[in-house]
Amino acid sequence: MKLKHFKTMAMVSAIALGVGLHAFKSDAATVLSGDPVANIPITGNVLNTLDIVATQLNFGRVAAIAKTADVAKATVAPFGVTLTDDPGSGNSANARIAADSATPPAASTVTITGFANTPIFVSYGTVVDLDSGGGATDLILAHITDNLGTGGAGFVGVVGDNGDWDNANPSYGTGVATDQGTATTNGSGVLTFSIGGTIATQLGANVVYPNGTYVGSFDVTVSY
Amino acid sequence: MNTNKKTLMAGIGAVALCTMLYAAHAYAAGFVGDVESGSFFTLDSQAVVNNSLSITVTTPLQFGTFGTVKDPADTDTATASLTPADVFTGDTGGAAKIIDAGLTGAGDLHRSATITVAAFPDTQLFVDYSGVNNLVNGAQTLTVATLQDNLNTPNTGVGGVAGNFTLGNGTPYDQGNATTTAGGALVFHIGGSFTTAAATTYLSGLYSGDFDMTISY
Repeated sequence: MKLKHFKTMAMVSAIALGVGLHAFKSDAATVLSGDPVANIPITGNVLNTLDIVATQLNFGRVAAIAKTADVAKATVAPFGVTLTDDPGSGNSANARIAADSATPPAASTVTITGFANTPIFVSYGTVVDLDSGGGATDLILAHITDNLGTGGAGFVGVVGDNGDWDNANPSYGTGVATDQGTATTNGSGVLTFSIGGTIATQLGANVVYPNGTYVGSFDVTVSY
Repeated sequence: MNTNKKTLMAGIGAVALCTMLYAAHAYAAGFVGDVESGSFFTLDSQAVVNNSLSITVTTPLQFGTFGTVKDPADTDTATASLTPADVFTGDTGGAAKIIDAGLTGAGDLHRSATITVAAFPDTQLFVDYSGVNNLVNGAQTLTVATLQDNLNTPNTGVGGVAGNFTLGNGTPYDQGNATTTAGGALVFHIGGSFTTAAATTYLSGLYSGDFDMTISY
């Protein structure tokens, strides 16, 4: 009888132990991290820099007379070394620009180095007339002309003459400021082209231009 | 009688041993106290789940240095790609172009992102992508078109082809997977592609973006 009792106690103890083990609570779980997210930077370095070497557009030494109702124009062509001048007819009403062969002009030569075999687009803007700095009458920078071809659709201009600039006086030109030329670099990434132009006397006054150096400028934008 | 005595002693011994084990277990589990035989007591328990993954972005996604050419008609765009194996392919076939600058400086090289994960051994991990921000420099943008990793895709399974995740329509969240090594490591690479905008002449400079990558068991 006692033996049976002890056996029963042992069984109860074992069951109690089992129940106790199964009764353990599990309410203290700690999750350190679930779905980790990493932020990954992306970079790309655009190198659209073009190396440019350009010489001055030089109209040389000229004699210039402005007249009230007449304009004289003189042009140096791309790669040109002579000035197609406008010496006038000798009539006192004619404006004049006469070249001096002893001091020849020179078109600007522009050398661009960029990616090989790649089209480059050239456009012009911000034309400043040639001024002596002394308040004298300006020589109007009437046209800019390069020897680039024009691009495809969307470009205005004529091959070989895609700069035709209106300036302060619209009677000097009929072009538009969005004219743009294009050409492709060679296998070494080099493109060489030239810019010529036209100067004109100013309307509205009878003026013998004072001696001096007349300086103007224009902007050239090159891009891929 | 002797037999019954031995049996009784054995029974007492068994109960004593059971009680000792019971007490020892209770003590080890964090319980100390007197317990009436036949009753039970409750112990708290805890488990610490550590599913954290160690992720190291060894290298970011670096498309390297390149030039861009605008379409004169302002309509064409160009797309360049970088594979997980660091192969950069420009786009010179159309009016708009992306040209490899061919430079070899550290910041010029074309490098896919390298991701190193430390996790449980021989365990499959899932990787997906979100939150893509395009490459931006000032007001100009190069659009991230795709991300491409060298993980298996869910559809191809183990040994499948590399994933190629198109980021269109704001749902770029295709998922790749791979299994860690016996040492718990997983190393993979992420490349991608980007597209120029039409009518844009890009300024030189560093364009920066980013994306999020989520890794889970």
